[in-house]
Amino acid sequence: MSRIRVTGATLALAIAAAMPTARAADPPAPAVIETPYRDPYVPPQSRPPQPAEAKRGAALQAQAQGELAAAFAAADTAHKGTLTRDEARAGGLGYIANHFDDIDTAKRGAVSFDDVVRYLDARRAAAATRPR
Amino acid sequence: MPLFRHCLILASLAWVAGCGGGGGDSGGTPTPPPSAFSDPVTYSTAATSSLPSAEELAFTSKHTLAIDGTTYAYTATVGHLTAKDPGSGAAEASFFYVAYTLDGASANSRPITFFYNGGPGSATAWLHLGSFGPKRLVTGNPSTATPAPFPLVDNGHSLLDVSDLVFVDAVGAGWSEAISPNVNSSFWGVDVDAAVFRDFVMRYVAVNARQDSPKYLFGESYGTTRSAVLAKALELAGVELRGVVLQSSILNYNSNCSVVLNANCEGNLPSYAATGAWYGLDSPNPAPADVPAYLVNARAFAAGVYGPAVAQFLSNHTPPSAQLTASLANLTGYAAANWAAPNINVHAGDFVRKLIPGTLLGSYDTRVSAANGTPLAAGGDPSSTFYEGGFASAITSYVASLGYTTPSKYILLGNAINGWNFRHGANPVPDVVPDLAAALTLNPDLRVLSLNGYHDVVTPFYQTEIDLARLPANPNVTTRFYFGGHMTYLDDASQAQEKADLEAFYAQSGNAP
Repeated sequence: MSRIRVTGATLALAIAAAMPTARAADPPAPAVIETPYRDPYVPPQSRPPQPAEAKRGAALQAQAQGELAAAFAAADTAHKGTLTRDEARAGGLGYIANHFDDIDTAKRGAVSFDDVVRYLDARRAAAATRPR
Repeated sequence: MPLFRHCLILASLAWVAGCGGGGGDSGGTPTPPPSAFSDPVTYSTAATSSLPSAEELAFTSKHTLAIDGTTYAYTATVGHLTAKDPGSGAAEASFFYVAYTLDGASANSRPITFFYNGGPGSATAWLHLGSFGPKRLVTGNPSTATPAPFPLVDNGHSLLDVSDLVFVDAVGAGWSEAISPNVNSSFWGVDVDAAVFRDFVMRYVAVNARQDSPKYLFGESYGTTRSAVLAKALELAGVELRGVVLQSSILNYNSNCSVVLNANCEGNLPSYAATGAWYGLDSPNPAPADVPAYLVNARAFAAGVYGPAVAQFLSNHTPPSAQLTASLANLTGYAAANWAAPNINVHAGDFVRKLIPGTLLGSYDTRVSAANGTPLAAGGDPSSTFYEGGFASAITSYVASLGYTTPSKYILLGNAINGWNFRHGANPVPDVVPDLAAALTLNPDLRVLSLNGYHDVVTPFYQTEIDLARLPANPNVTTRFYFGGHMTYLDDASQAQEKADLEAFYAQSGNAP
């Protein structure tokens, strides 16, 4: 299978080639359906015999917060327990970098996950007071 | 014939060709704009394929659309953008997309919505040509009287008056493809797929300077699974969302008894009741206007009586009482004998075959039916068999009408679904309610709108309510129901109601700080 890397030059050629087509072009081929399977199909070998436990309410919230803590820990490659704004940005946590000044209430230049949780709680409380 | 002005743009280099438009003061003959762009790149969705590299080519054209008496001028942009790893900057995949942007609007305040279907492995042609884009296929749903080709008409209920719209195809669908050293299957998994979609959204936002635009996700089916993981990923990455629209959700594969056969089918029961009502089989049978109230009772019966009885059966094979099977038959029209043996946990696959002997109902839309042995029944689902061919032929000719052509095959439903890594967290199949909870925790102003069809037994509406009810009580999560199947918007009346609900949702979420 040949592929063409498109450069400005080849592109110009492509345009030039396309321009004189005043005649009606053939209709393009219809889209292709390759599989008989439709959502929410899962291949049999991937299906568990029993459903996983579905956490709810406070337990679900704890799980969600645990996943956020894991994302924080993954960005904390130096294992200091804190992230600077630049470390948060470099670790893919633009959320912390963008809100850094609001999270870093002690103005230490670095934030812990506890600081993040305090920020999340404050934000939730502020949102709850807004008109719906 | 409408006069369109076309431009070919190379996003990364800000290089523009053929955009002279109304010039002519340059001395000679004005250069006519190109009428089309023939993409010389060959795309493949095969598991082991990848592009050696990719340019970010796009072709634009100008159009107008009337919505509620107002004419909107908009630009259609067709092309590819390169998702890049946020850490290394390495190219990951070249995403095919079609974007519709309102002319003259301020990017700071104009909302933008990213649409995608599911599968996994489905292209976004269903949402693109069926729902709220500027053009829409009129299928006549739920009637099957007029087969494809379906008329492609201006969509008077397009969302374009409210938001810019981007329809994007997943890696392994449409004309999207991985970039070497990745291959397509590098992005065939719950987590890797959401990550590369995050990187596409971030690339689109950066290239088009949409940092300040209110941002929305609109996923359907597996696309709702993707949306929960993607919403969390975007919020973590610092891309704040205003809203997530969930069209016909599957937020927990574990709770869907078509996937995990030992899951409790309690969540399906109200959909069975709605289907029985449609065919006049329930006793007493509700009038159409009374169906919503009828289904309130069906939900209560599912939660209070049927679900516990199924749980008993699943734990120790306790058979249902004759009184219970009679009640279930009255509620749904599905014969008492079918509830009695061998399994009170009635799966959708049995329900659609046995409700009306000799007839197969659509799983995607149970209002569509066909006699066994007819061509419409041969594909296993009369509802999807009826419309799939019409969408398959319309999408490629429509995109060509926007000026973009390629000799590559457009993969509407690809093989990614067979090679997909469904594992997510500790689970073999995904439960993404925790991801949605995390997104709502990071952004407490985020709003979620769940849209559901009463007659969809692949992602049943009450199961979605049960799944969403796991979230801590949250006034930002709202749910709406329509007559219709998985693709509620194929039904003209439901599409109009859905548009009204979307307008209200965008207006509410627009109030966020």
